[in-house]
Amino acid sequence: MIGATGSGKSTFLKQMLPKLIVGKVLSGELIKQTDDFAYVSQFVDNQMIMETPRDELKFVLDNYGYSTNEIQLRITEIASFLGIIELLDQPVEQLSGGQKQLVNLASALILKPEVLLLDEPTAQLDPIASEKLLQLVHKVNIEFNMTIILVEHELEHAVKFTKRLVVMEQGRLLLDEPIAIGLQKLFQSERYRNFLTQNDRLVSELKIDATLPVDNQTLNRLIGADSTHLKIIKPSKSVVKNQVLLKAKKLGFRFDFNGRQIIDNVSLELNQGQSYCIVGPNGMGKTTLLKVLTKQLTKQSGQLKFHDQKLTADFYRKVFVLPQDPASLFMKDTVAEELTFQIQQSQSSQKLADVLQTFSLTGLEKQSPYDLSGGQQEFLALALGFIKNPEILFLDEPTKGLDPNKRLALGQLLQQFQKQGGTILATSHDLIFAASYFDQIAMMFDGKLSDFAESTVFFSDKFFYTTEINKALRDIFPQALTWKDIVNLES
Amino acid sequence: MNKLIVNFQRNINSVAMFVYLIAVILITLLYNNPFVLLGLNVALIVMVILTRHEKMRTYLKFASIIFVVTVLFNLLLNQRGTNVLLKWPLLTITSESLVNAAVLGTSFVNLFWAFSLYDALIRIKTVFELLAHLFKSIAIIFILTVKFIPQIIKIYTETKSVSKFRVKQPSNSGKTFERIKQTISLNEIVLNKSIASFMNVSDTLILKGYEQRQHKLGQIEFKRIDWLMVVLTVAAVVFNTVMSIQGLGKINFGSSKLNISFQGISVILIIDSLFILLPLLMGGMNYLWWKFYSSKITASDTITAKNYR
Repeated sequence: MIGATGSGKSTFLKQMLPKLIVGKVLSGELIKQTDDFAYVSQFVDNQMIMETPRDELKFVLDNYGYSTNEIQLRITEIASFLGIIELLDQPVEQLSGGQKQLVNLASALILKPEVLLLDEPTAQLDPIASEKLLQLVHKVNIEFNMTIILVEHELEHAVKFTKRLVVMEQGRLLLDEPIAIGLQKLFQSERYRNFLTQNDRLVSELKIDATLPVDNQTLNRLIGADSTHLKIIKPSKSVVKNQVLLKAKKLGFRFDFNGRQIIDNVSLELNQGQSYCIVGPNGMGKTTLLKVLTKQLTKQSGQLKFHDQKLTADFYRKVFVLPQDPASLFMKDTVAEELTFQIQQSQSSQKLADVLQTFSLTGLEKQSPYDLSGGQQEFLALALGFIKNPEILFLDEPTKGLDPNKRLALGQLLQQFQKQGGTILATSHDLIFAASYFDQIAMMFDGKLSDFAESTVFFSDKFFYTTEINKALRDIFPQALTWKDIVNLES
Repeated sequence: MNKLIVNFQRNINSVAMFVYLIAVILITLLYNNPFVLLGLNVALIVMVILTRHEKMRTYLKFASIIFVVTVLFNLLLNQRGTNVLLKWPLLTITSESLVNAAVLGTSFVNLFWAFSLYDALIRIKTVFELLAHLFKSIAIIFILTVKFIPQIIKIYTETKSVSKFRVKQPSNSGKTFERIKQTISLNEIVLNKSIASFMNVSDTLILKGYEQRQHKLGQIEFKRIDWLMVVLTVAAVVFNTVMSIQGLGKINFGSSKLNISFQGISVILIIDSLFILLPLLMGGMNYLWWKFYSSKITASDTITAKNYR
């Protein structure tokens, strides 16, 4: 089930779980042939109560009154099936986001439900962890014939495992079709074609006759057969060496005395008017690096200079940080108060109505910022940053929780900011977003940062950590990263 | 954590561990003889060093603050005694008041060490189940607190650090009122943000069937070592209760005529120190047993060059 943020997908899912329903059913009736529903949400940490995965699983079974023998058997079964035996006695704070979500899935499956409800389970995971989780969900689906309802913002990883596609819009089911027809209909809809995966979008845009969804192997065959009629359009981005705004030299940071070096000898330079994106899996130090660069954490070694001088209080006035959870920035009771407060603080001449319109917040003036959907919160936070008009805009995972249309709008706003001379540094594990909107890309792994390179150069020599289009077509169009890069010769 | 303590922790079930930790806390509360307190203090510090080595610096800082504040406060409140050491217009320090203050300070510090040990070794599941058995709502509050105090601190730190990028920072001089105002509003913001997280966990508890919980206590297996631990703990509690009823290991705290008796303290010191160090001793015995007996009769599953050197 897909749909824009705030379209009612989660509320719909919770109708199956009467104890979680907030509010009243105004009309209609839910006819269920079973009450055996299990639910996994996107809040990875808040679904775990106990200290270890074993205690977590035992807690569920104890609550339902299982015997010691039954508990032992069920834990053995589920841990072997999901491959989490080695995690069972590890403290939960030492588990990665992907591992935690596997444990949450185990807690849901241990009661042997008939229907598994998944509410954006991959929202906080990196692409590789997301794929692994969905592969396991698929295994559950086919091996136990269990019904799965998956609510997602994007189809990239889920589409190959899905049999039926449902689109929700403003509380109504807009579409409910078998996957192949559903995807075709998505392409026909102006509003939803951005939800298609890169492969399906390319095939549909090129009007190639194929059954959707298309995997990388099929795409390679289809494009290979038609490559003489196709060309790549990739405007080369010229790197202009402007003034260096921020310079970091051999930065180092770790949390514990003998702990892992989270930032390990990292050097970088941010030139004015350029956009930079740091990609990499979760837990590799991207957020920590951003915090060290913006003085939210104090560096333990190395040099950090802004305008070739040490960072002073002036730094806070000239940069803006959009954290992973945009709600951390909010301070007032309503959207309008937030924006007015920022206009006053920044002594900006912008009008409230203009800001509301630019950031699609019109009509939400009186709402509490905490009641907005994830996408709306992100845009409100971005509006606060734009009002401030900083020299450098730092963004930590800006696409987290955004639907494809909102991602597109976000990318366009960032390009607009850059055109006005702004500099951007973002961290993201959304490779398509990175490839589409950033001049320079680098990868962070184990505290080390690679050199920044132009997106085509950066992705074209990657084998695993690159976009699906690049993986599928590297032997035909090695420079193609997104569906937009390949067109018919006639067009 | 020290490998002997880890061995003890792995071999013992959560209920036996809980009983041991509660007994340690009880022992630190029972006595106020300075010599007993100092002996217990040493045993507790040894245990905390072995269990939470990485946090020792922070703990020592905190224990020193507890000690100094308690001593100063007690010196101000209780100025009784005959043997005057120092006399200022509003403060008279006597050797009795100084001993009293040091006794209270050490008691509090010992209690702090006992709770640090509890924090390092306890399993949330056991406490939660015991509470759930007795008071269901309190158990929920307990779990929310345990889970959310770190989260609230995280929200506070995050909000404070990113707010600098939105709000003009008051300069250091003459803006105390402005700073206080900002801190108050920051606290309000943090509370607002925390509530959403609490709601998510209550949903999780419902989904995991807490509302219809059928086992009052989780299923726990008792092995011989668990029974041994429980028996030793019960024996220690009985011993300490008897000693305490007989007034041994105690002084007439707060009095102007302090009478520090040595009667029975050597027995109390030896038994209680050994009891506090029990995880280390049992882990050590296990280690010796493994090194000099078990490993000799057990074929290793890994062939290493070391065996042939």
